[in-house]
Amino acid sequence: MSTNEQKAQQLIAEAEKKLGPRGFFGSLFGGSNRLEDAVECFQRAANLFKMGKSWSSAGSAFCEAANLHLRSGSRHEAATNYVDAANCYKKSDINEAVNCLLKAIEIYTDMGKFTMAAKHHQTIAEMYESEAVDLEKSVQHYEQAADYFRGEESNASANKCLLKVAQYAAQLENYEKAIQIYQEVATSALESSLLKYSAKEYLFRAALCHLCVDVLNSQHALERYIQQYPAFQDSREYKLVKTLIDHIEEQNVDGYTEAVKEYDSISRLDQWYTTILLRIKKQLNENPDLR
Amino acid sequence: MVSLFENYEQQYSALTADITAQIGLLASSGSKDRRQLISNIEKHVEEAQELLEQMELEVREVESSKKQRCRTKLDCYRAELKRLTLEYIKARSVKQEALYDSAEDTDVRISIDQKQRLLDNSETLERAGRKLNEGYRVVIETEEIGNQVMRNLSEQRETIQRSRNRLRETDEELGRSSRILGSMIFRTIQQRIILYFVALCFIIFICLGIYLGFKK
Repeated sequence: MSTNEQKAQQLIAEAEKKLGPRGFFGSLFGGSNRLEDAVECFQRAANLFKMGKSWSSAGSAFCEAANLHLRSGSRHEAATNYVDAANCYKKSDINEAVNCLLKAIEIYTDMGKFTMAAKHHQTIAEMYESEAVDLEKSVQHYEQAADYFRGEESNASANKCLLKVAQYAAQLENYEKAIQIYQEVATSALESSLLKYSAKEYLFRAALCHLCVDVLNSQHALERYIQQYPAFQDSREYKLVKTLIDHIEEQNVDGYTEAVKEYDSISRLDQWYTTILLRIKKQLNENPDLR
Repeated sequence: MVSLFENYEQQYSALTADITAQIGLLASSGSKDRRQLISNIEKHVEEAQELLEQMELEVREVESSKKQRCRTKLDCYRAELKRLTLEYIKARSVKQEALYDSAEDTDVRISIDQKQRLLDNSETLERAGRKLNEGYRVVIETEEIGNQVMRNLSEQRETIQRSRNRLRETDEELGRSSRILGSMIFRTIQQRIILYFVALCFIIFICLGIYLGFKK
């Protein structure tokens, strides 16, 4: 055990001693001071544990400090300590980190600080996305974050979360939801002078999701998108989707592959696009034209 | 008349000498000189033929004793001119064959050069095409980065607006708190004045009591 950890253990023992039973006069005069001292000891101990890279111990020390803050009615400080605890637990135990963040979220929503709550929901979603790899829970938290951001008129942050929801919804084959979100985000992007150039990407994604469901719907959707955003017609994305629709109607797998390859040779398709395009191709192989 | 015929003979012999010399030169001449020589030879041959015609006219008018000898000479001159013409044609055709051969070689060489040039050009075109594609790719990448930057700017704009609103709220809260503090300070001063006044009253009453006590 390193010196930092030994010092931290001593501080925790000291804090627990301060929290222990005390006489009548002690409780009458020095109650709040002793609580504050104990909190300070826990915080110092947590920081020493962090220095010693003992993440679980640091997290539990921060949790203790947060609980004491709650007892003394300092909700903001309690929430901050829960977030610190979550940051420590993130490196050792994801579930504990999530629990701490949920406690912090509860406090922030109770205080009416929805932006902070949304940010922490986003953090939880990212943790589920990258470390725990539970896409459904990740989607839930992203949706919650988006709701809170929308409520606070943070549309850009809300859209960012919604795009993640759509991305994972499409991966989980919930195409209707993905299409709806992409269309909403594209519509809101077209209203902004800064974001209107990103609209074609969202419309492209929506069109690909449509292709996963039904070719006819995707054709109608494309027509709608052109009416909504005329510049989309001149884009490479539109041309690719149009070509893909033609090849799907002709049941031309080679042509489909060639079109995708040609597009990919100029701008690399990421994992999401590759997955969706492969699904469309798979459908094309599985459902040959019966005419 | 004979003197005129002899004069024509002298001219003819000079012309044939020139033609012979020029035919000799024709074999070893370059393309530019060759054209000049050919035109000279042809001109001289024409002149020689004209001279022969003139001589033929003169022979008719020559005395009968000399007519036969002149006619024989004229036939010899004709044969000589014919021979020279054949020589000229031969020399010219030989040179042309050589030229054709070299032209064929040149054609082959030209076709090889053209092929090489075509290959170079197609390679250059291919390179240019690749560069264009690369440029296009970079442009698209730049566009994507630009979009990302704009999205970030949009988020940051919102963050700044939020911060501004929060600052306004904080400013309002600070204003309210300063007003509350002001009223608190006013009350403390008020209370202090009252306290001093009460204390003064007490002192006055005590002094008055002591005074009245001593007076009694």
